[in-house]
Amino acid sequence: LDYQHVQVPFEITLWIMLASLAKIGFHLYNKLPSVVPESCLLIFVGLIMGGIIYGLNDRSPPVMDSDIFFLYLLPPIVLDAGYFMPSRPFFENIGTILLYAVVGTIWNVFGIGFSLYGICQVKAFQLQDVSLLHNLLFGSLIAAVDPVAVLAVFEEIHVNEKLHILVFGESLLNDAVTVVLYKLFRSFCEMPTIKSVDVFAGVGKFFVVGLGGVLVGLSFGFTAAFTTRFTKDIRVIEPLFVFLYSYLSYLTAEMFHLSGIVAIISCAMGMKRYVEANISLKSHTTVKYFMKMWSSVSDTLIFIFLGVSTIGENHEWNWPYICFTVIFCLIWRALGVLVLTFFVNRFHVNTITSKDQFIIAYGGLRGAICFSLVFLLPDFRRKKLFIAATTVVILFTVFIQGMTIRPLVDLLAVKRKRESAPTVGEQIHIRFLDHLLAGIEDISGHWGQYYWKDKLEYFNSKYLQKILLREYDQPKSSIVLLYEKLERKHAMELAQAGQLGHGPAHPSFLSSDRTVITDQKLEDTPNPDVLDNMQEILARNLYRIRRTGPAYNRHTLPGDSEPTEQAKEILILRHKSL
Amino acid sequence: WGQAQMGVPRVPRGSASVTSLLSLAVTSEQIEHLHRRFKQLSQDQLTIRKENFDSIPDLEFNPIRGKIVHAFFDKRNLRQESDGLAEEINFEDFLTIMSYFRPIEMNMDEEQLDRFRKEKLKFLFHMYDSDHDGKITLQEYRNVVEELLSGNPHLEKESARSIADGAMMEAASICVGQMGPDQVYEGITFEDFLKMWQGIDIETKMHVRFLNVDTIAHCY
Repeated sequence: LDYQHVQVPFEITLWIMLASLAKIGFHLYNKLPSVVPESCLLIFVGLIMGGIIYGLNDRSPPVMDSDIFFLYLLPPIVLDAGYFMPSRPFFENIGTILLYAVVGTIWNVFGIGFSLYGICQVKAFQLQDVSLLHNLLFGSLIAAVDPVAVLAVFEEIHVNEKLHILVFGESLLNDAVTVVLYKLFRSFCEMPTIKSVDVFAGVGKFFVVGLGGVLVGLSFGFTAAFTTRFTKDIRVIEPLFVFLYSYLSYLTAEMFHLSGIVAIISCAMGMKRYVEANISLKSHTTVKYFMKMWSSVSDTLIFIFLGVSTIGENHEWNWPYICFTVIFCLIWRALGVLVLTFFVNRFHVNTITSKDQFIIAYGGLRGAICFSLVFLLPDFRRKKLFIAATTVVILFTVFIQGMTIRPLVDLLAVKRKRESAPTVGEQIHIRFLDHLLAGIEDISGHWGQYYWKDKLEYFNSKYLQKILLREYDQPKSSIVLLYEKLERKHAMELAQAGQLGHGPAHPSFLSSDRTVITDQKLEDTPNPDVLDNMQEILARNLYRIRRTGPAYNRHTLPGDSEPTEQAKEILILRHKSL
Repeated sequence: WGQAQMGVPRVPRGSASVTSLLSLAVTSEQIEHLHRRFKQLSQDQLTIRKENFDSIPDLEFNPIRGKIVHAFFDKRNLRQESDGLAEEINFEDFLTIMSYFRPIEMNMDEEQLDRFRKEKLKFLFHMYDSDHDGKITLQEYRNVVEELLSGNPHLEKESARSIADGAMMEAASICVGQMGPDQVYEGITFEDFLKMWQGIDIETKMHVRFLNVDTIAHCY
């Protein structure tokens, strides 16, 4: 039995297997995921596992190594979040998001730090030796909202898009602030004296960290897009580039002490548009599924390890400190949201209602990032106290807030996500409105939001697209893309159901919700004269039928007279002509 | 409005249209800014014609430029009971059109909000409905899509047409639901148009930010 030889990969695989089996287990009980969010169940499983290991070995189970967390477990989740981030709502609300992320986090850090210091002054609690700096350091790591936890919980409750993007965007972008403050206070702990120039350096550092992260991310993103321009003949490794470049951007940013999360998000958002235009449909599906898979595995592992690491002798239970930490976290978050929203609502037309504000405050969940940061603290006397406090806060937010947020959302009747299929008409209208508003801004001589957006689009189409997109692929507008997607879906359904050419089964772009199968036909390129022939048939048959003059009659759509095969090929080849 | 404003033309009293509009929206600084802009566009004349809009460089790249300029001269938007196109517009008309893009106010009640929304959508409807017959026909919709996609030189006309067809079909199914085989869908009326835009909150989207509401300027 050569266990030593395979031990490390074997154990890793066993943990991942355990995590995935646990996930299957939850979904077998239909009622469970609706009451208790998955993250809670996973932590619970972790607690059990930790308890078992503790009982067997009679020593603390392995604590999640911070390096493993930051280097291996966190990037896939953040990449997934950044790649699939809906960019429109994100950029529309970017001001608010940045305000919450930056100012809100700073407010929380100092608020929690100072109030805990005040608690430490009380003689009865035996906390005299926890200095102000230590409290601020603790505040800096506990104040930040965690993207993993927020994602896990908010994914299941489907609130309206704006609210979701606000909480989620904040949790991602506050990393820059957290990194700076944490490192700043940690270095202050080691310095004998602190001069005011150090504080200013800290402020400057914040800008460097944030903007540097964005720059690093964007440069890797554009390089990735540029690389995919040449991958036409080796389609198989296309998905790999997406992952390689994103991971590199994260590691590079971490290397330079910049914010890795901001870097990887900018990389993903920057490259998405161009990469998706360059890579094949199959590669695109691969990228999507691999990302989702990896982030799901990471997510599960993180929560299980959180549970496992809780058990053990790492804690020093000082109840007053712990309780007050929880209370102050809640209070300062609520206050911060209230004050900031008050300012935001004064400058914005689209106000954030008080129900939304409550959910934003209540949705400030802490998670594994705090946990890892607390383990990274230098060893000093009261470290175990901090570990205990962090653990309690995380468990509190994930369990109590995570479990009650769904009933609260229902109770308060918070505006939910609009469940509707995407329509081409809507895309047209939105685009029309964009151009209209840009035009009005031009006419009125005002350089507003739409003016800059227009300018960016212009810059994009003139320069960026020429460099980053493959030569013979024309840039497509979102209207065309959506239309193609819907057409393709519809063509596959019709081909599958064999209904093409039969009676009044009119194409309906709205009612399709069957799963899309991959159709080999799409990838075959027909030879030129077949194509010409088909184009001719296209022009003659399909369009003649649809061209109905001033009155639009649904009755005269693809009629009975066409043979099924021809009609099938017409529809499938039709979007080749697009 | 009683204050002395340099160069701002006095709005004649009793011009009910402007009174009702401006009583809700624009402050005096904004009016001054717009007036300056008007003078720039009109080259110090009292009225603007369509040609004056050519002097705006950025507008050239806008795919729906024609429709936007047209909307300024559309008499239906200028609140005049008549129909058709005006030859030239003065500052009052300019302000009227601009007021369609004012942002929503905090203290609006349900009825006001509804009217507000309908106003904006009516403006949009007039832009789509180029022949002024109160319906958006398939041909007009096709025209809109073609203009929107005109920035892309590689796209064929037929693709734009089929996209418009698809969109029209969606609109038909939203507005009329399941149609019988003999039913003919004439075109999108204003009520149908309202239904189509139900999901998009136009009150908050369709505004130009500088037209902010700080003080309410009443003009009597």
